[in-house]
Amino acid sequence: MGVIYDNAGLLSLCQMTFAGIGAWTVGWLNLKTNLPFLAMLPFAALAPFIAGVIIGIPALRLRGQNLAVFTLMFSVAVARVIFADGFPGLIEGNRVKPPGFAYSDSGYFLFCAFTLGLIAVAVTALRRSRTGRWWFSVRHSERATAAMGRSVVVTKLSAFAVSAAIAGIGGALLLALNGIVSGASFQPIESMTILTSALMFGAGHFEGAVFTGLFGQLIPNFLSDIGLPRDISPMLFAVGGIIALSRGEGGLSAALRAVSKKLLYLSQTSHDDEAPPAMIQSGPFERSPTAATAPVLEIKNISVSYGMVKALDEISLAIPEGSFFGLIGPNGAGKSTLVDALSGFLPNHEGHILLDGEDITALSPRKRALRGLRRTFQHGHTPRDLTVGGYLDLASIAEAASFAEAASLTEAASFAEILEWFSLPPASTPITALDVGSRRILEVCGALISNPKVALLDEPTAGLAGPDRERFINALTYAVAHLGVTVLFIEHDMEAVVSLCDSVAVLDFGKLIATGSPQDVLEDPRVVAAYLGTST
Amino acid sequence: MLTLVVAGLAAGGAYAILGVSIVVLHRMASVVNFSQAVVGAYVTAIGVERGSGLLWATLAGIALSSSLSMLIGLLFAGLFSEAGVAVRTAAMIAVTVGLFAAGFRFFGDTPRAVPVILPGVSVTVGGVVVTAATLIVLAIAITTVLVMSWVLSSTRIGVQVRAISERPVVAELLGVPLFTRTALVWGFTGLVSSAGQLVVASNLPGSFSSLGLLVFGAMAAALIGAFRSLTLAFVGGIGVGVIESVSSYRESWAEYRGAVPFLIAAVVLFWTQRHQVWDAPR
Repeated sequence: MGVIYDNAGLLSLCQMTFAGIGAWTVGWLNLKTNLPFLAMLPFAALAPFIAGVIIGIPALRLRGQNLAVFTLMFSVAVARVIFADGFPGLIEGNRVKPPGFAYSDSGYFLFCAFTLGLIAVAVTALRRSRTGRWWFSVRHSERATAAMGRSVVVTKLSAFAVSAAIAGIGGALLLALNGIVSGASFQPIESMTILTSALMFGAGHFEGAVFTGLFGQLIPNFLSDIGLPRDISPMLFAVGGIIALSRGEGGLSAALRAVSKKLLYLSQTSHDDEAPPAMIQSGPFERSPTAATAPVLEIKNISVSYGMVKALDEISLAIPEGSFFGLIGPNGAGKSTLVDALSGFLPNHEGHILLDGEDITALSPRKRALRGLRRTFQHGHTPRDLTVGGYLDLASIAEAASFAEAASLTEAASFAEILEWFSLPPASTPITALDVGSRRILEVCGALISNPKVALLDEPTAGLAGPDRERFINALTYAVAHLGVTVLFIEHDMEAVVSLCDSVAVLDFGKLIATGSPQDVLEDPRVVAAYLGTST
Repeated sequence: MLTLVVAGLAAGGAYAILGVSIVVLHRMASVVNFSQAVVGAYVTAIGVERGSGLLWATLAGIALSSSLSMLIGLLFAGLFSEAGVAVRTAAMIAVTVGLFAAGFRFFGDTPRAVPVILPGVSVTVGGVVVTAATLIVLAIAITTVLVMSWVLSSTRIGVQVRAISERPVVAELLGVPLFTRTALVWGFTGLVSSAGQLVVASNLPGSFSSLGLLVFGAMAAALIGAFRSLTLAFVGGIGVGVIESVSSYRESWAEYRGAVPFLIAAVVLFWTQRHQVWDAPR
């Protein structure tokens, strides 16, 4: 539950079904073979893993409530068709025996605790790995994940299958504890109950997952000890889960961590206010205009309509390699729509897009990102569960790139370097500690560090004020010049546009009304009219 | 075969009613109600066992499930009106777990006779017996679709509740009475679904959990309607009921009958969601 819901943000209601599949597999193997329990345990993980992939491939196009309903229906179908016929070995009375050293109750407890420990170590390692960090990323934003060149489906599927495998091991351990099980333990409502208590205790953290399991047993026992019926415990979990949800996500374990963090913070008597790293250059940065080069990004007759409204009308642009190309226009002119179309989020547009001479019109956002067309979002999309360094690492390599390729990609600038250029805190800082403006700068860094052919920066300076803004513009100029990235720069700050851009295109009501050098364009009467209105 | 089709209409009608009320609630309150009132039919059964009149017991059952639904609605309006879909869905699941547990506690899982509230009248059409219950279920389902489509699209209240569901704070700033409208919507869907359930319950093994399972057919219906279209949800509910019934035509198929709603929903979802790519607008 921690992996699937708290990390990847997927609402799955078939965890107990996967546990049941694990138990079913072990029961079947026990009936048909003479394998010892430890040898059967890997199959208990493998079978649900495969089931998770099979059911996941189609289901993971869905999200939120659709996924919840779909997985719930899957668990109902399995419970009715497979589990209802009884588990293998149930009728024959063929009991599954735990390994010899775990025969006593205390031995079995230690065995389970050891297995849990192994799983906890594995999950923690996974969470820190790229795979795990992509889970956080996809939870935060699927679009941003795809825009960084990562397959959303693969990311979700890995979370789904891993959580299914863990559930399968749990099911097998449950089976060995009791010797035989009926389908009753693996009914859909059990999955819902587990989710509810996972919400309450916050299974996203290890201790939360332990609480979920522990209190799931202890609370009913406690209730019967004080003379209350056991089966009101789901009601308590429901109340607890709702309270936890209404107070923000993470449940009890997140709340406990927040408290301990606060205590830790208070106990540290002094905080060194780190001096901001020396800036590359303080005054306004003058860019030397680039010589005319061949276009790296060609936009041919792009049109986008929403119903009767033409958001973009036959836009054609050629962006020369190594240039700093400004795209300006009043609000609602279609600037962000153009970025969406270019990065592949509007598959139904008309016209063609050529990157480095290759037609990428039909490619998905992920493939475009892999080919070196990266973008940032107007409303920051950095996942809050990661650290600065963790995010940059994800952003710097695309999944298809080999390790050697990845190394060469990041050769141009190290993380520390790029963080210093942009005055961002060190790589170990959690993203939650950054203010909104810095998060957006980080997103820009992410786009640049992959050393793309073209970076589409959608209003990167929104949310930055005064000196921060000036510093950012300087750093951006330096980084772009240093890395040799072509930039399509959407901006409202005309001063920045004039000082940075080699050429500028102006959009108004979805039409391209002017292109040329910044000075010429800003004096163009049509551009003045678009911004200020006509005087006549 | 035709007999099976007609037999499937009753369950299909129930799926349709519940499915349509799930869709109505989703459009009005942006949440999928996993816990469509299963309590109503039980109160009726208990009332009858205790000897009070059938009419009163029925009314009490419907009133109880409506007010329960209303309470859930107010809870949601209070705590989760600005929360995202995932959080609302998770919260709804928690509510459902609580309700199920409460249901087990109060009613146990022993099957009990749900009183037959409709006379056992039936008509014979072309050699096939159609019970009055089936006809009434279908009538309720169709009426619900027609009335709710009209309410949602053409009345002031319909527009108000849709506004609440999409942007509660904005709606409130515009002067829409949040509290009463929320109570109204949830209470009404509780009423419709418990009434529908009561009618079909007499045809089903009346254990708490099997009545709860009706919701799964209804879920399939609501999914087919993509949580938006009342008409499609109606068609989907009937379709699931009929296919489920027809699937017991052959002995070897009957085993898989329980998976029918899932399979249908799966096929429909893959078709309708095939272009669905991104989570949220930029």
